[in-house]
Amino acid sequence: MPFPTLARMSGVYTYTYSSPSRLTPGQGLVLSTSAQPGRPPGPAFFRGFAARPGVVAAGLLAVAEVARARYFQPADVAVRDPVITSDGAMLRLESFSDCCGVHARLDLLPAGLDGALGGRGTTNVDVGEPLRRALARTDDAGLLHLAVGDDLTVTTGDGAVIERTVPLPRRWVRGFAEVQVLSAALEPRFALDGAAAVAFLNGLGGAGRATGAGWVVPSGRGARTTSRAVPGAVCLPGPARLGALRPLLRYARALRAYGPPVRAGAPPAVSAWELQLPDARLVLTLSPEVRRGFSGEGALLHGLAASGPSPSASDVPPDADRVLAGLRSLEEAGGGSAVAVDAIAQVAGLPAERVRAALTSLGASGRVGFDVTTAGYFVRELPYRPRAVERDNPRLAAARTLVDAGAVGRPDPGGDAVEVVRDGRRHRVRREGGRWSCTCPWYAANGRERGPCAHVLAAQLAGVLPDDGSVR
Amino acid sequence: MSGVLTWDDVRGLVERNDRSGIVAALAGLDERRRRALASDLIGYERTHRLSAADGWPLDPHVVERARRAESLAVAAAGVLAPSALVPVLTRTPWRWSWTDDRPDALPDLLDCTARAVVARGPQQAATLIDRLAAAQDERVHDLLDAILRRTGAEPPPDPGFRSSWFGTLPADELGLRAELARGPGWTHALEEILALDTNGTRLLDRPQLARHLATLADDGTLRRGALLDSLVARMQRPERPRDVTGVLLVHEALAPTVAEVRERRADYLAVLPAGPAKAAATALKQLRAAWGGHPGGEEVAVAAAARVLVRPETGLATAQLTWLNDATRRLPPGGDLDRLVTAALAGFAHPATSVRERAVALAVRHLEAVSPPVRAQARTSSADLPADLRRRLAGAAAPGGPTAPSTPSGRVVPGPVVPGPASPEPAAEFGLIGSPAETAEEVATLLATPPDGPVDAMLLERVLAALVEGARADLPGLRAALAPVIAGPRPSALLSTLPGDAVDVGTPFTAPQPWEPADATAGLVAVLRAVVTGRPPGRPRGARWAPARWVPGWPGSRGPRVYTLGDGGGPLSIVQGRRLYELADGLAGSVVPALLSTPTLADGRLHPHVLERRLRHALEAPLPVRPADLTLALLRCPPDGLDGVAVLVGALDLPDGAAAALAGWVRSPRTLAGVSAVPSPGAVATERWRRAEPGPEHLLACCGAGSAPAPVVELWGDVVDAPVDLLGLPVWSWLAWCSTWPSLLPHHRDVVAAHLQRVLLAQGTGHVADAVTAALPLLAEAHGPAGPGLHLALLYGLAASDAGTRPAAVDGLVTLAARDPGVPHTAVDAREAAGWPYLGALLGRLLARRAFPVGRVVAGLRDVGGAGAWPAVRCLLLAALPHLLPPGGAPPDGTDLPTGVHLLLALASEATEAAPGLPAPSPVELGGLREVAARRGGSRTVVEARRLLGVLDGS
Repeated sequence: MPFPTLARMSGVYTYTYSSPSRLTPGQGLVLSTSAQPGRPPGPAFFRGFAARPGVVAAGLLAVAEVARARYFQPADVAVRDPVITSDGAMLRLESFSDCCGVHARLDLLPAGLDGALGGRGTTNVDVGEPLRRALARTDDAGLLHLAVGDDLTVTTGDGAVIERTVPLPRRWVRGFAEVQVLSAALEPRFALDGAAAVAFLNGLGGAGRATGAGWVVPSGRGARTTSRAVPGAVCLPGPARLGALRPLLRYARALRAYGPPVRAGAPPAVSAWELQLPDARLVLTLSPEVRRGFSGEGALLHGLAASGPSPSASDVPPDADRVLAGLRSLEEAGGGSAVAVDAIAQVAGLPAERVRAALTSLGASGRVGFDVTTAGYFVRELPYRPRAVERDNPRLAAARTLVDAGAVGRPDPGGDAVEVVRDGRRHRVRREGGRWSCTCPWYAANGRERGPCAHVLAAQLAGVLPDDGSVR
Repeated sequence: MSGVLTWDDVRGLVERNDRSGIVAALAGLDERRRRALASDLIGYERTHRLSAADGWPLDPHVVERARRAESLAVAAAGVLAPSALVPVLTRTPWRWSWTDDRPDALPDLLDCTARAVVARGPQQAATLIDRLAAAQDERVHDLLDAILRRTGAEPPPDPGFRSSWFGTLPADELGLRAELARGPGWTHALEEILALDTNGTRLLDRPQLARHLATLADDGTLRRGALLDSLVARMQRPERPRDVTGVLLVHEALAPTVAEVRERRADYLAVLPAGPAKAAATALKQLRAAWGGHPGGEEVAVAAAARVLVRPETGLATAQLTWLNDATRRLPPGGDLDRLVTAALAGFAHPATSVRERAVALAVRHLEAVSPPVRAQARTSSADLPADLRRRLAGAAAPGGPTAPSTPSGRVVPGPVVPGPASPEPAAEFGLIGSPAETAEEVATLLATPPDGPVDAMLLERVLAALVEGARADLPGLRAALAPVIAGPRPSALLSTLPGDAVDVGTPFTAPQPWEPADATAGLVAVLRAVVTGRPPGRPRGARWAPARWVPGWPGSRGPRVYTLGDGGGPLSIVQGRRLYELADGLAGSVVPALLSTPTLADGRLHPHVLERRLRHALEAPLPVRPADLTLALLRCPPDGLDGVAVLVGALDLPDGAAAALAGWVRSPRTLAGVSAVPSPGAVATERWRRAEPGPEHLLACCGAGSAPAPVVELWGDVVDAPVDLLGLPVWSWLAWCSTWPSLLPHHRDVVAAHLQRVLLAQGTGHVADAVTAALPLLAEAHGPAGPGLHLALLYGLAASDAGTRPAAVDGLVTLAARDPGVPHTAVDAREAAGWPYLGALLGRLLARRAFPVGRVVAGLRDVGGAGAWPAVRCLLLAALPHLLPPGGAPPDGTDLPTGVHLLLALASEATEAAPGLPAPSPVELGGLREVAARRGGSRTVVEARRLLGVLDGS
């Protein structure tokens, strides 16, 4: 069983650092990681040098920059700490913007890490202002020593313990869960070489409406923005949200854009933008609209509702252990690259549908992520908290309340609609051709873009409408 | 007061606002008594605390309550434990004493509270300081400062508190020194304060503070190095460029020495890739001053070039190349010239031609001296350069000359590799709603449209068709299905509103005041109300806006009035509004009327055969036919091939002989509207429009039927402005509906476009509504003549200050290019009022009149070219140039050329290279281009004019 390193206390995670992360001439970059209270220090994930110090420093700064940004209604925000995951072959550093509408992930590939990757684990990395300044000064001409793991708290600490609480990390966990589901639907749409990437990103400028949704299509050897969805286009809501890529332009080798299949006139959609760097890549995943955070997208609600009644604290999702074990073994066998569902299904000895269901449950706790660049899943070593999953999805909780209160009526004679009545408010839920719909204001405003409403979930939980096997 | 202090004693002091008395009474109280008072105080506070509903001090009673709350805070500070005290203090207003007559009322209040805190002992005060700082609530920052003054404590690390403190610092040097005398922690806080966001902005209002900070750093009061470190750290971060402007004021006043800059070489270099442009320029200047011409300076110049030359700012890149050039000149024998030249090659991909020129010049100067690999790299990088620069480099890079690039590069380059723009997809079939349940969901979705739209035109049409069909087939069933939707708070508020009532429920479907039946918003509400309640629409206020009725038309005309643009018209939504109004009237009656105008294609077009079928059904049933519905149905049909429709229309039972007149109109060649541009801006402008500084072009919308003596209506004054003014209809009441306009007149896009001008122009300096933006590409895809209305709308969209609108105009232009590549045209065709030459001439006239900055349209036009429409862009630009560079080389009115003309010239060169093989324009068609190119000097306009001539001659 891998060790969890995040502990929850009163709705927030408490991280304990032995010392701030820092960059010193003698020791290089020391990323001080959080240790679980009462646990002895664990082994280091990685200890060694970065082959391209400037790339790693700029990439880490970009991830930290996203963590301190709020793209919707900009305001001063408390700095969050990026999460770092090692799968034994590479390091992934992740963060969410304060508005939770941008997910940043820096992959440090094996070729860029000159040292020992000593096992798997997940922790968070303290990037304070002194470290930020030090990283900004780093370029490829210097040396950068990375040390990620609990044991470094011993070698670099002076005995003092710095305790920090990070407000609202639950949004991050919810964000991890949603990004995982939404990213799985993305496909590569176009790629620009380095010079074209520079031209495109510079052309976006800092201008543009803060909240408008635009689209990007390949055009000649570059790309241009367009006002509407067309087949092959990638949604780019709030171009300013790609600003974190700019400091890395001097290292850019290519820019790849990922998006779901869209038809003409489609609503805004999730997109991912991968800046390929020497021995690294930085992926920014953008929510469909600037005002929408990933934590509220509701992409996994149908899947969670399908898993049945409310879980108890000791519940483990069905098949989760087998899927997780299979995923880990495949990661280790494959040198850390992300793993596709079919491969997991083969190793775990489960049908693909059950693997997907298990991945949804695991993803709800942020325990697995989806790497859009390799179209596969990877493991984050986070604790599983079934009750938190329930609490973090208020629509699901509201649906269970509706079911418990007997608000879901009997289906219409046709068997495709049911009324959900609570406190005198009456809403009609329909299921036709696998598509759910409702007459409530929430559904009217959001349609199917942000997952189901509580009434649809209640109807699904109550099982009153026939399941034709296609949940959309 | 005597004996043991009781809660009544304290309450009396609070209610008398005797704050000093409170402090004195609570001083030295034992802990047990304090706890006893605490519970009473908490209960009292809970009862008397202020709420948001109390508002600002307009009411003397509220003022009194507020002051009492503030006095209670003094008592709480002397009684409560920190954990309980912080919430009370954060709830306390701390502002109401401003209304006190005494100027020192607020400081006195804060001081009393601080004294009460300090009286509890240092440990208690320290705990409270920590908790107040951790609360991160700016409302208690003044109090926190007062406590810190009383205790002499160091400032807490909370950035919010430190920023608040910085905002209250005195702007005079003496005051500043006195503030720093509070302790070393305050000095250090000030040294680091500018690394925090927003504090630079505070300096913009008090620039003298920047000078004082520098003075304090010079005399050692502040540590100069620490202050400089915090400034450079802030310069490295890209957000809030205005904030960095304030930081740069201090940086300039501090005037870092060469030694200081050298010591911070890496910090200044870190400003270059991501810092705001001004910060990057300052950093580059400092680095060059510190390292230019000094040993090791080449290495810094190269490092800076890698960071700067990928940025788009021309000035920065130019400065960087100048530095590299100097470095090559100063390079000692045996120096690493390869690195310097290689660094400059990054300038080949810069978007500005001037930067590329400089980079090429530097490379050419040294190409013989560099190693073969660098020469090869130069050749590879040159593939995307303009032809003349490629030739220069090829001449210097012998042997072999330029070769094809080994990898594709970013800039869109000349050549036939880019396919032409794709034609727009054919319009989809119009989908109907299948069931009452689905109707209810679609109605809910329609009502959830955001306030500024865009209203989904086809969703509206689907809903209307379903409502009419549902009302005819099963009205009780339809009402039952709609019930859950109508019960929602927004719809019920709308539908319970009587005509004329003002109600705002935050949707575009707000009933305006006074109620205007010709308004589409109110019309939709009326339709829903008629279906759900059976109530007809009320009689509107204002006799001018009578419902649509059959009239014989204008004298001599053969058809009905066109409600959109007649003298009673308004924004195009009005035709929609009249149709909705009469539909509501019909749905409330005993016989559901015909609905003839539902489109058959998703762009609003109606197939004549379908209309024939509907007319036949209406005749046979029979069903009532309403004027606005029939008019819209006819307008949605193509202008030709309506003989069958005409027969059926002639058979309708319409009053006043309208059927025969209408049938004649349908048979006749119809031009709904001719829209033409007039050159004189003031001739027809209303006074109101003149005040609004209209654009230089005015449109005349000629609206009428066929050969009738069509009334000529000045678009701005009568069609748009007047109804808005007369009726008090704010723009937002119809703005959301602009997205539906192209579907109302799908065969008359120029008329629709003419109506959009007003919105595009009026909002040209701000956010253009989403609905207007959405309409621009729809216009280009629509049908009918493309005249000045459409072209002007696209140009205004292309030049909108709102960058979010420009891609919509680009989409429209790309669509036009797919239909009309513009290849055979030359500038001579500019006399035609359509096509790319006309568009170019229009652009040239607008730019010559400074309607908008040149730079705004260049990127969009490059995007149009990049989409495969370089021939069209070339055609457009060549037609524009004579208006910008008239024969003689200068504008006839003696003014200077518009700023940024060189950008258009450069783009014209790019387009000409990208569209080879087209006939060169004649000298007459080039206007004053040759005169400008023949001028002496090396201004960008002259250089780019020469380049364009060269490219044209070469072609």
